[in-house]
Amino acid sequence: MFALIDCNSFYASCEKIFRPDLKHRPIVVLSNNDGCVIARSPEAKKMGISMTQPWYQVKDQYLSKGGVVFSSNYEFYADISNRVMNVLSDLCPEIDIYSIDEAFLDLRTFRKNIDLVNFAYDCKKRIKDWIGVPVSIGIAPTKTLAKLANKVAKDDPRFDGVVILSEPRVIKHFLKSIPIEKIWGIGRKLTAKLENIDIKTAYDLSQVDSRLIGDNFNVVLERTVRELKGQSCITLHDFMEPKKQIMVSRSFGKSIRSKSILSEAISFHASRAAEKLRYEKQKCRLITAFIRSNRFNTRVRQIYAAKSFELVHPTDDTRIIIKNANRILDQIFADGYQYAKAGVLLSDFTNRYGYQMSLFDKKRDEKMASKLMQTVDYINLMEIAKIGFGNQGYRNTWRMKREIKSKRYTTKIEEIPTTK
Amino acid sequence: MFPNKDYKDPFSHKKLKHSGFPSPANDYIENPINMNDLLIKRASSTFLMRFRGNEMILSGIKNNAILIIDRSLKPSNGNIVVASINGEFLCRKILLGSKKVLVTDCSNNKLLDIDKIINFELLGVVTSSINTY
Repeated sequence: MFALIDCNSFYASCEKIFRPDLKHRPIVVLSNNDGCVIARSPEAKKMGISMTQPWYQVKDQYLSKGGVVFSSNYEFYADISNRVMNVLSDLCPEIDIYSIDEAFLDLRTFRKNIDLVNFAYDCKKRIKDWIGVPVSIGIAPTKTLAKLANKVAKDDPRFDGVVILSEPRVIKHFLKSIPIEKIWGIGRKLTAKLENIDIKTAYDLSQVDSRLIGDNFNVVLERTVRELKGQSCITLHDFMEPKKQIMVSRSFGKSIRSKSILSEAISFHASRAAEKLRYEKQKCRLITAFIRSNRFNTRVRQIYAAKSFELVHPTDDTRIIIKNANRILDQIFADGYQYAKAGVLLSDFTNRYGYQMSLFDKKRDEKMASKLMQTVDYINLMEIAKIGFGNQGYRNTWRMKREIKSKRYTTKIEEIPTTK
Repeated sequence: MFPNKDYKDPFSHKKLKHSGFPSPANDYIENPINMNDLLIKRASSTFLMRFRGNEMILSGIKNNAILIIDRSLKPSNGNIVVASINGEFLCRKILLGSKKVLVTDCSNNKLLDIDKIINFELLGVVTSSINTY
């Protein structure tokens, strides 16, 4: 059996830990630049605030009804997440951390006659008491089923946050009530395709011959079908696949017309992307840069411009990536628009050691470059100082807004909560 | 804040290069005393808070003391706890007699009857406090 433990409205719940005065108040948390809503407390959900809704659209009404808003405080959320994962790993050492607020536990190592209901409620109570975050728990024979069980545990108040699927009869009944688009990994396109051939519920999908699906669709869906049948086939490894692309992009605090500031932003994103690339031990062959206007603001002229540049030799060199990203900016920039977002995408990866050297490669230069990059990464890691490359800029016009951020209650001694 | 891979122990000695004779104490080296180990029994449920006021002075908690609070502990009679009352955190001694009350140690008439407070929630037990002189 597998358990999926998922924190309820995680960021909003974190914000409530040290604010007892906000216990029953609606809370929303905004994305990096205070652009849109990325977490809602149950009270905010009831007010009709939806996920990824642009903040400016709901701001006035939400605040006038007594809603509370926070910028995202990732330093704090990451610390709380670590604590949750630590408590879970004490309860079950076989843990796969799936995201900042979800983890799978592999319960197959437990003794056969363990009372799963007790285990689930202990787990839920412990995280609530020890850390202060409410969680929902789904337990089932496979990860896909556990994920579904968790969703129902979270959405249906009758279950009090815990759903356990063990009896085949119960699973069958349960799957009949689940429309296919709720299944992990089944998107809008696939839903339409499957509905076309009369597969409408999770139960319908579980009755299909999985090999048939493998032939007509893909291996991922085949795996999903087998998981719905109760055969566990998604392992820890499946989450660890190397990344196929790296994207770094941000919305600006306020819109930007100037090319030189855009260039600073592009260079900054390029350098962050290059760092991530080196962390993944990859080199990229394709560099894409884009700039765009605010698509939610209908009063401004809209623009979306992007272009890619293919390198002859794969690279992880910040300087080359910055240079080419700026070369793209030169080509796509147009005067007279208000730009709201810029980004850099690196793709077409080859493993650092896996590609072929051409006859004219300058091996020595490459060695020197890789040494330089290592040094830069190392110094930045130490957080004593940051080194960057020429035009990343230190003007703050385009940086993250995060205006209404709560304190870093657990990671900065100057910011710990107070009591009387 | 707590022991993890980035944790730097202020007491730990720098790794210095050594030439010449090996130290005769080499076989007896122990780790230096670690304040975190001393003060924190369970890192994932331990939080720090700053205490403001003079109400707990007789328990040795001065104004601006740092409280170490373990949320995993159940309070027993006479423990010092932090609780939220009507949306505000309070650090008090808890007495679990026939009546459950929170008391300050300055004046006895400041009893708070827990059962009569609607918005009472226990945060955790204060296991130590750090006063800086």
